[in-house]
Amino acid sequence: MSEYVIEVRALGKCYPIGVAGQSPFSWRHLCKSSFDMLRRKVHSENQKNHHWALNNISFNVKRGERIGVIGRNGAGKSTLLKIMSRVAYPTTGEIRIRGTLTSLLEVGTGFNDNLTGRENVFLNASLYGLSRTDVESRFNDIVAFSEIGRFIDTPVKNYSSGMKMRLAFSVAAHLDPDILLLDEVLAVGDMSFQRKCLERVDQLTSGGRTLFFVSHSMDSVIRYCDRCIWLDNGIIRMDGEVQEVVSAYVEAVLGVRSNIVVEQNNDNIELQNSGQENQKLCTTTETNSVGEDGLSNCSFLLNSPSKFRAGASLIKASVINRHYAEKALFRVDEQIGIQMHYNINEPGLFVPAIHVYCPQGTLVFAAVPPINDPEELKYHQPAMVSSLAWLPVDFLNIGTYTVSLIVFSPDEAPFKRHFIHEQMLSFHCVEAVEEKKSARGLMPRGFPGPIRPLLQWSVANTTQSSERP
Amino acid sequence: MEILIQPPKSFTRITIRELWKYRNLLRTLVNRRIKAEFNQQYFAYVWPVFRPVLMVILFSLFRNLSKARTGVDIPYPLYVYGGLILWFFFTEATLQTATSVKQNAGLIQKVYFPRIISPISAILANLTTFSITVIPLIIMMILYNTFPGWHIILLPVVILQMALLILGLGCIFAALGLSSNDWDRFLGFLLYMGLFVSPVIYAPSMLPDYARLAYSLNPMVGLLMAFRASLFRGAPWPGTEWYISSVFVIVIAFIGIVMFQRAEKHIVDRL
Repeated sequence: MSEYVIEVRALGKCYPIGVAGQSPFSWRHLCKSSFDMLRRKVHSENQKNHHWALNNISFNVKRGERIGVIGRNGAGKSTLLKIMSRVAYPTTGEIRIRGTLTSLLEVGTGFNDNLTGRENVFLNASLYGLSRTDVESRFNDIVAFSEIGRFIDTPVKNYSSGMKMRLAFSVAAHLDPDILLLDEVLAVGDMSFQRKCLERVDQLTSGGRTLFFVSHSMDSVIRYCDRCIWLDNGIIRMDGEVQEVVSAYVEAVLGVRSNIVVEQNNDNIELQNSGQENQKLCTTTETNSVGEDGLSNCSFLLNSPSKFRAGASLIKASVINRHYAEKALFRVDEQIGIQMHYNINEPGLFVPAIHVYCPQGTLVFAAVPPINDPEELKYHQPAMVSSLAWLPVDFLNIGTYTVSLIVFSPDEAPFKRHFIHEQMLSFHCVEAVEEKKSARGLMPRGFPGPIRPLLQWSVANTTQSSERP
Repeated sequence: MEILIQPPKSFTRITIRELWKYRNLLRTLVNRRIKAEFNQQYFAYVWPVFRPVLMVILFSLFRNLSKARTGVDIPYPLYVYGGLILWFFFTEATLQTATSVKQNAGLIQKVYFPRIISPISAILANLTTFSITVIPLIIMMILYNTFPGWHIILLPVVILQMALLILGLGCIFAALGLSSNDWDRFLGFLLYMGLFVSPVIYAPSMLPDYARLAYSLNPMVGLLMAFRASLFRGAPWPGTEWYISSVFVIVIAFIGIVMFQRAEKHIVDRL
């Protein structure tokens, strides 16, 4: 007996895909497939007609682990869950599962519109292997949880779609499996119901149950999982601690760059992502090339125009957390620092500045160091300078912010910009942990506007005081 | 409890223990079918009876008006009604069994259960409808003063044979139906033709002897005769025909289950 509840070994799933221009119901196809069948060639057809939705996946899950599975559309997440819930067969490899497993691939599976809510509860529960007496003992909990109330004896077809979802999730939430597979099912109902669902999932997993959770919502993955598997084109791209994997994923998929390094040439200033050796020449334009691995590497080449000689040049810049570690993913209550290293090539006054753009692309603010004495930023000989600006906590909204980096001289009119790197850095803000006080309050969905500051609020009931003279 | 998930073998074995574990689900699926069929009707329990009763009236009228020879010894309406209810049970159940996988597609794609439960549930649900149609039969038997002989003890065997035949045929077409919808059409046609080559409204004794053997290759011949013989004292128990049917039933059920279990691994990918 092993300590693992789930063991996945070299798992693969292959789907045949249609060949272009050939309908599966054409006579030609029929003849060909019959012929292949006779020659027992079915499985050795050429690889062009096959798509490996999962390719050689291996991982282990310990009891009580809460695993998030993330990845782009078509990365194989749902296929993995389908195989784990024994709905589809794998093509290669094997999975060992120790304990009972319930999968919620879709809420409301097996609901019959003509039956009443009550009948559907029994029906649905038995699909997941609950006996009638089991359901009877939990029935009141299920109905109370779903908030359906007196509509429980109404046919489900008269329910609103939200009611249907709530009832379905309630049944699902009261099954009692050792391993729970969830596929995007938490996005049901209104805000208060969502919260209830999440609490219920919390309750289930804290009781030592293993959770397997597929989601596109990074917030929920971070909140509910302690380990994360990132699937990309059927292979495991990364598997590890949730924060780490989610930030890597966000960085890769949203094209977020938490750091840039500029290589210095004599005439040309080349910006590139660390470790990349791309050499491309263009004049005062930026080329954004997306590498084969899906990570966006950028190689920027700025040919300094003859009009001005750069008095300052950027060496590198990064987004850091309060431990000075480079990061791309921040909770709204975390400190975010924008760090710049730049060279001063000639004497003069050099002021660093940052422009922060909100997820919608509008400029949120521009900031310069609050220094009154110009002497502090005056340089008499070439120097290497580093600047660091901390953004306030509980200030930004949810989403991907981009940062432009600038060094300019305010004493020359018009302002002389020594360099401006438009929207070079970016980072991603996610919701703070549930228990913490946040500007989210009780609001159900995302907030409009470029920022979402946590303000000092006082809300008081003044009815009584006004009644008194 | 350990579950091992592996690439499919060419034949997925059915274990009785697993089927037993899923008996609740089977009951639920049967209930769901029955409820869906009788839903929102004031005469829900009359409709299954309506069709055979009406047909019996029509056929009896034809026969009496035309004085046609049918080779039937027992009261004709009783003979026809008994045949019709078994025949309708056969056709309805076979069609529904063959399409049950597609009907339950939503479930099959989302929840694991032994897939064979889906066709079995279709048969059991139809058995319920069938048992409703038996009530007028009992009334008619009392009216015509015809009662069963000792052969009634073989009635459960005949019903079981029917169920196996339906399961076999249904599974064959359910498996074939995964590759093309043509097969569902073909099955409907086959069952429609079957009514004319089975002793439903006439007795096989009408046929000349040389045609009897070829005729009894139709498994429904032996089963219909055995069904009547076990219900009505006057009807003779079939000999050769019943043995031929019994062999056919076992062979078809075996082929059907093997084909279904072989196709099982493709079900989700092809639905």
